Amino acid sequence: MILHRNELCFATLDSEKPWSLATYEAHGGYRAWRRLLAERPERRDIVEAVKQSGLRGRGGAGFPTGLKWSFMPDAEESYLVCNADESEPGTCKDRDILRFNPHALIEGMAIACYATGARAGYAYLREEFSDEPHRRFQDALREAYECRLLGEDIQGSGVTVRLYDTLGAGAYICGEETALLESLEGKKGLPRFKPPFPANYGLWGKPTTVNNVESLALVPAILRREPGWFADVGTAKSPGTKCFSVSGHVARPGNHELPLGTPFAELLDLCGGVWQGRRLKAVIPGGSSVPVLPGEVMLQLDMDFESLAEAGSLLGSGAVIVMDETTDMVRALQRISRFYFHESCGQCTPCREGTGWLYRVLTRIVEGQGDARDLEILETVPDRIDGHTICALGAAAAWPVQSFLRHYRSEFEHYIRHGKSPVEAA
Amino acid sequence: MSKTVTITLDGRPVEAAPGEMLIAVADRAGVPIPRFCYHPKLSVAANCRMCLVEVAGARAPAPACATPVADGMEVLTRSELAREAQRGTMEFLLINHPLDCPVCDQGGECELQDLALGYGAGVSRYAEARRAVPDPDLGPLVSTDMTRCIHCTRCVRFTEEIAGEQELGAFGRGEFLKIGTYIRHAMQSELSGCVIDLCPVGALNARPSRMQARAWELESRPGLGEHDGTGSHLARHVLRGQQVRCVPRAEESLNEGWLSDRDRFSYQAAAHPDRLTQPLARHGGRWVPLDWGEALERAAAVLGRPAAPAGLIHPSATLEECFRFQELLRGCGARTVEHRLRALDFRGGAQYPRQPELGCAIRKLGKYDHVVVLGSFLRHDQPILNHRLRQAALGGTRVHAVGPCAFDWNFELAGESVLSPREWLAWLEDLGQGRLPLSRELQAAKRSLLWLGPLALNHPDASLLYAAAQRACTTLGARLGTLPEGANAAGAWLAGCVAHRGPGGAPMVGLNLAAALEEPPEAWVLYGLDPECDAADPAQLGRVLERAGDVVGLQAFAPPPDRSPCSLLLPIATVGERGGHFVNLEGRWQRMAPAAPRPDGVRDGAEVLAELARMAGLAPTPDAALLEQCRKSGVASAPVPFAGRSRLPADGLLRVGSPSLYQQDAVVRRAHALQQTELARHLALRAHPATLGARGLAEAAEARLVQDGAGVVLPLQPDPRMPTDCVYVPTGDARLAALGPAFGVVELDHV
Repeated sequence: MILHRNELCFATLDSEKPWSLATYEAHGGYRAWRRLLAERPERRDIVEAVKQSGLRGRGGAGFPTGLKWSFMPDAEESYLVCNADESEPGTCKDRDILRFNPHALIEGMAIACYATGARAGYAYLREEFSDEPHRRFQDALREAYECRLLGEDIQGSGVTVRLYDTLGAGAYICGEETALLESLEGKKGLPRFKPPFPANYGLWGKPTTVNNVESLALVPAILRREPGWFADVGTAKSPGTKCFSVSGHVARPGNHELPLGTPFAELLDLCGGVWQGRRLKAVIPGGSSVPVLPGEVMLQLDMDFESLAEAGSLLGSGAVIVMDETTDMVRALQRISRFYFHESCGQCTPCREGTGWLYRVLTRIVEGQGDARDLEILETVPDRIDGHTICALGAAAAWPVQSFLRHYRSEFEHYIRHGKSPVEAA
Repeated sequence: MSKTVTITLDGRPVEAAPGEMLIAVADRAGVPIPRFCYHPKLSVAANCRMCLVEVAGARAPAPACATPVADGMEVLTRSELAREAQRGTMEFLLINHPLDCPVCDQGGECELQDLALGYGAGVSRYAEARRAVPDPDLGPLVSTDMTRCIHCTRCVRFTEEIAGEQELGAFGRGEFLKIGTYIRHAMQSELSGCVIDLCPVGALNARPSRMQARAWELESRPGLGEHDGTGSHLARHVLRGQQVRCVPRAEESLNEGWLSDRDRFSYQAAAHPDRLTQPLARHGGRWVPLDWGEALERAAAVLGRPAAPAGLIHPSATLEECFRFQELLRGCGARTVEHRLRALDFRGGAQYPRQPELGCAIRKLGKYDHVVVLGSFLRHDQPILNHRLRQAALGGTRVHAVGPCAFDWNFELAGESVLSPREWLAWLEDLGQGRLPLSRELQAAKRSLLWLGPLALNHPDASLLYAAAQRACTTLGARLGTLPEGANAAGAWLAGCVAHRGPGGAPMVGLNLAAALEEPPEAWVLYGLDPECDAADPAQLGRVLERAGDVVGLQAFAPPPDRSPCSLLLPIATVGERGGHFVNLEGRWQRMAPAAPRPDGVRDGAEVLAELARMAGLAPTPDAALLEQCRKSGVASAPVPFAGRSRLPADGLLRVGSPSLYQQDAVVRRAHALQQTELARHLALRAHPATLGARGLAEAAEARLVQDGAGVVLPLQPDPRMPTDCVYVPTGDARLAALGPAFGVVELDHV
């Protein structure tokens, strides 16, 4: 199966009013949902079809979506939650799905509700989406209800699916699924200790499936075509397509939906290459929390789960941050560390105390006040955070420090020795 | 399926229940795992990350507090992976923790200090500016030094899960996470002091003892709670003969590990400026000091008069004090010996059992399907019992409350009936005769309890209420319990401090207190009470004592001469200084030894009573025989149910009330910090808006409460759930001493 750019989540992009129901239906939208309403298959069958597709979660962790759905017990009360709190720095794909193809998400959520037996689905949008993405999603929801694609006893099928939209309040941590659930319940967004996982103890303590926007928006397309087609796209271990958000030092930053396994070099070309004719220095391939890789390594890699993992990084959310040769890696890391310091929820000791420590040490180094002992701190403190916290924010704060130091140690040493940036000096 | 699983803990096989948390298993096996946020009585937070251990097969270390055991699990608590994780957490905890241990009250008993010794580094690698956190004002009981806070959230979880009110929360995030109150206010919970014990560091400490002692200088002496009928276990910490603070001792069957603020902070009264340290005699309008010899002779002379005295003793007196008191007074011919100071109805004495009973063991409350509480705001009357009842209620026990107003319960009641005291008798009869939905519920239940609280026991028809309650319990298969005031009400009955019964409940012919106040004897002996507060009708008692020839007070505090009815004061030991027995509401006998020495010039009350008995030519019962006499059963016949007519005024606005939390007895009234609390300072009159409106007080902020010609101005608290024929006014408060009886007819007037 050959797929070109932007054929699934972004399929409507080139049409007029890509977000409208008419446009979506013209692209085959709601066909899967209508068939499901007419045929009323066993919910197991839908779960099986999604399992067969090989779809892995597109939020960052890459957990198989069908398998996650299969965990849902036959409970009287259970929920679906769409994680639209897209906050990982560099990531902006979900925003554009909400803006330009909200019905794909709605259809995906409806199917997911059916397949998991959820009585209702909530889309939790980050507060920063309150303008355009939220409005488009709200309008689309209204359209779907008006056209009897959602609601009670939809089109006489006996199927009831209610979907709701909610807005967060601007906290990165609420993108962590259990913090999101806490926030959705009206509480402070603090991650819960797992286990129990949401499939057992989720929203309001009831079984809950939490899926990313892109994962859900892919489901209608997966079910629309012949069984198994999605698995033929991409690589064996990374089937299907992925929306990549390319940012940083490229000529044309933007979102590109491509088959997984597309070489990074090809993705870079799609974005017009490194800007101003400069050389590629480094790439963070999956959102700011994943380990950075040197440019020359990246140019040899394919964009899929296994290639990036082998190279010591992660596909993450698919946010590709490109840095050219003029990038001051110490300052880049300082900026990243500031983010995780600012966003730590504060409940676990290592993350609460460690993220600020790292940021302060980096700031001191950038300000020319570093000393040799600081390198030792940057080398050991992240290890004491990573894997020691309730949620993954601790690791997210640790990995950039570990990887920047692994690949660009000389720049840190230069700063400490000379009190200034090695890049400016060059 | 096997009931236990076996895990390997540091190479040693250990049995555990499936699903049990690793830390609990390790604690039982004696394997130390460091921790801060974990507390066996609170929910698991898993946020401090100190208890990280290695579980074989897992890549990352696991928090022992949140990891359920599974069969065959292999756990290493001291492997390099575990130790490195623990050292890491300790480093993070210490980077922002101030090095003020030398001036921190927690120093020497600090969990962080202790664990830092084992897991911390000698020198900090942290070279950045340290965090400083402003301190919220939590009121007069709990001091705050929030820079020391390690954010374990034990205090937050306590207020929500145990105290039942979300008083504390964690605000902000990341490094700026702060513990505080939601809106700026002092902690109000009756158990607020427990956060001091829970706080692993010096962030929350006892404000009254702030900067007064180092932990290692203190001697810890076991004691008992002296202000309610639970018999809470506690420890009094003594520095150079002074009580400096008080902490709970764990007793799973009573107070678990908690303590009411009243029991915790009442020790301050022992050092109150009014503390009586030498005998005083009234001479004109002044107190004149006497030496003990002369004072005892004067007291003996009063007792030796042909006209027999009457004796009133507070139910916080020990069993020994009670016994010696009645022995002396009866030996001198007294017909009135009474501890039920607030009671109005002494009829039907024969219907009562040998001693008041709760009807169940406190630890078994959770086994009851229903508990009906009539006439008690348990949070104030019996704070720890209320905590146990709350836990039972959370576990499914259905609690129904009947009272004159909707009290501020800290758990969800299954039912609440707000009824005028005029309707309680009819309600009990309806209950017993199956006319209420609740009757059917109780009948269908396997185990249920009906408790009569102080408002029922001090009701003008208490004897009728008791008889009706007993009938209802017999019909419905429930057990009857009573909740009298005082730490030793049960002991006072057993020792014979009721007019109609002697030690062990032996029947006596006596003159009850109500009758004695109508035809007062010439001389009175008061033991451990504030007559202006500890009486059903303080105005009437005041008049009687004023007219009496002699009033001997054995007490710990000396009010100014113009405010005391006594002609002679003998200083006796008080809170923490007494030895003896308390019998709690379950009927449990508990002995305590004096924790702190008495001030010079102060004598042990029981010894003074024995001495006076000897001077009166009586032979005091030896100590061992004393206890035996109280223990033996002297009630010969089965209880005789009482029938009689109501004495409640049929018309007019009724006053109803019990002592508020910090007006319970003479000691609590002199505990400085407790008296600074909002609860102690604020005294208000609660009334239905219609009651107020009918008197033109709809808009008024305060009104004059008029009773028997006396008036007191009180702030008004409109409460639409109050009955319209009564107003709620707490008792036991010196500010209300001029007023007549509780449950008397009152009027409201403009100020």
